[in-house]
Amino acid sequence: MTAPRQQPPRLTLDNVSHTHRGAGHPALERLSLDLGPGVVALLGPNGAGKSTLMRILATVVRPTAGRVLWNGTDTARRPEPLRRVLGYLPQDFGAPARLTAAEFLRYLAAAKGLPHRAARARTAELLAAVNLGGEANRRLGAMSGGMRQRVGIAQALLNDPRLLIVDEPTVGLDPGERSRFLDLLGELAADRIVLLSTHIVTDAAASADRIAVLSGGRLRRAGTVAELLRHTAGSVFETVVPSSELPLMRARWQIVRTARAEHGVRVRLLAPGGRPPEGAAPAAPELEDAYRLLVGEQPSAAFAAGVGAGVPA
Amino acid sequence: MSLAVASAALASTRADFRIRRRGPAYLVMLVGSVLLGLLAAPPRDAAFQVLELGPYRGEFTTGYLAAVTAMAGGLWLSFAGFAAVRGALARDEAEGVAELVASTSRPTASHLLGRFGGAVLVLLSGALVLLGTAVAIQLLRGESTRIDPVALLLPLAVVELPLLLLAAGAAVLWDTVRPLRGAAGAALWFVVWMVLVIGGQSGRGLDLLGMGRITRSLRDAVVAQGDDPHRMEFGVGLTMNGPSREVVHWAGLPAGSWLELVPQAVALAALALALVLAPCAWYRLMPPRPAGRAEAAQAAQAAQAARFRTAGLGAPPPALDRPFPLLAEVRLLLLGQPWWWLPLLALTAVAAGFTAGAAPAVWIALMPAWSRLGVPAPSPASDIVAACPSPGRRRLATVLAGLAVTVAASAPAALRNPSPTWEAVTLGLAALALACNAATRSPRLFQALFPPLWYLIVAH
Repeated sequence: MTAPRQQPPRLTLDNVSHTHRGAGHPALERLSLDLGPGVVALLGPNGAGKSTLMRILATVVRPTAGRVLWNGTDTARRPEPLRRVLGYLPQDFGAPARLTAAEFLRYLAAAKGLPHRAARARTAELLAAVNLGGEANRRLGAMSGGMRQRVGIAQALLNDPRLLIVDEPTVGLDPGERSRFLDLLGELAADRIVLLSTHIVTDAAASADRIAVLSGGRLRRAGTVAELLRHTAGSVFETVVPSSELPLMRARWQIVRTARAEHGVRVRLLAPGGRPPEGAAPAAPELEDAYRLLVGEQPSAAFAAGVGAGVPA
Repeated sequence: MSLAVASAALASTRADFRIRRRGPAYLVMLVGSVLLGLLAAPPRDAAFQVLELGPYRGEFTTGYLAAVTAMAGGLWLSFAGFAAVRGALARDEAEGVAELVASTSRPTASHLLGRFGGAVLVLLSGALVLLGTAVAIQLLRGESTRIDPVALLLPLAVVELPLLLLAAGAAVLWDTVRPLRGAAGAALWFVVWMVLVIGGQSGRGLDLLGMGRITRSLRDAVVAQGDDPHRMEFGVGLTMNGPSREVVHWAGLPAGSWLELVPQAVALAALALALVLAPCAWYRLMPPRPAGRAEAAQAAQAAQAARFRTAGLGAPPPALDRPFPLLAEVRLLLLGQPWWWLPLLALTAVAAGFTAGAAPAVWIALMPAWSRLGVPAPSPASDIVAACPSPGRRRLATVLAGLAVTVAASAPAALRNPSPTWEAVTLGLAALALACNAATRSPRLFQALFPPLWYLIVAH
């Protein structure tokens, strides 16, 4: 099915910056990365610049500075070589409600240059692969959000891409589909680059060979899970405190998560290079710890804290 | 154009036509085409005519009916059909299809051609339904039972189709220019259509409907049957002229005369294609995000985070038992328009307070606000709003907001010359907008109806 490939693909980001028109601050700032085959997870909070970076890599938006090189070719000057082998699932994938899944896929297959007959076969094959084989003639408007998302995943695979960019792909998928999809990404990544953008740390941990943490438009760190964990070693602690002490702890330390315990609240916190609270025991770092340490405290965590003190965050 | 681009354009056409023909606007257009066909071949005692010939009417032959339906279709389908087929690119952007296609290897040209193709198929199917209706009427009336395929299809090919191509091309072009996507685009198309099609009938512009040739041929037919050609008056549209009519035996224009219009038809088709492809120079399938949106979102998020960090969530302000969001609805009507719109409305309203000539311009200036009246926000915002309390009071607030904006804009003219007619017509137009928008959940019907209605009101 797939032609033998001579060289592994290479995607290079060279000081890529992007400022939205009229915005005072860049959405992305001097980002450099060199990527080869494998799953690379872009991890970052909302507004970190992940989707902007994804759009730049998908050649939909041009960087305002810097270059993106696909096998050595500047994609802003010559997007065609990349577009021919690109699969892209954007974050806000809506899909035309009045087309059936098969019609939609065949339309995009033509836009990607697949011959008519091959498009029909590929459409059937991919719909089966995403568990929608029996829904080919169902209109997208009549599908659930998760089913539409699976159609989105299928369209990204239409042209057997060498660079697959998926932006928040597991949104709306049930746990079984999510796990299946992450496995599929792992299989696909054997000889191609799969770029997965997410803010779900467990998705990144489950599927990624490398993780790049983005925050405020900047690359905070990139490396394997092991490398990120090494960076966090010695900074993670756990303790149990009465729930009345929780606000005080939040003011002094970065809380990763809380859970109800028999005599109060079990708190997992970060104390990088500083002093942990009295009685806190060092804990083995997890990817969530490394991520939180790199991006700083996030509004979602703080929001949860404000809503219900002492309730698991 | 490469084979690959053509193939992608063809697939895009197919997909676009499927999307359009499964929408309610398509059904409305087909029903409209049937009605137009019935008007083009009215009953013997009907008081109206689509092709005005003074005291005469043509014999219901294939040639006559094909000519009349081609002119009627060219006239009305190019106008109403424009409203039905515009908005495809905005739809693609909203649905995320534009972003997907932008990342493929042949994006803009094939996508624009596809959307043009879809629009042409929609309009063409309307034209064919119109023609089919005319044939059915010819057979039912039985004045002539011979169907001449050449006489039937030539007017469609050289008169109606080029105008439909032009309307479809303009719809694509308008879509690529953001300020023309709304009310301003509908008003501009009305002006262009008036100049091209109505102007063509007066003999001062291009003979787009073939009126010159048809009237000459009809005069010859009247002379040939020994009647007075000077009693004939010509016009295409819909005119009331009394029921008693003498029949002109006219088999239609000879094929040679129709074929003389081919260069003009080709030129119109080429112009339509140019309108579709010209936007490749500026239109990007994935437009940049609104200025500062990401930054604003980030700043808001950071501010929110800081607030939560220091204070947690405070007690919410007490909610009203029975909210009445009048100010929010007024804001909804006024904001989100182009920056120049509100100053323009104010300027027009003030000018109407000094001179009567500016008064009708107030209606035009109000068109963008009226276009929003009663149109639900796109989902999921509409779902959120629908889940808010007191839907009845909210709907009332919507009506009152429209009323408030309309009264405020028309007040200077009313103060200059207090006239119940002025206020009644102004409020009537606002009510029409509300009714059309609420019924169709879209401003398109109102935007299609308003320009000719405005013209009729001002002209009379």
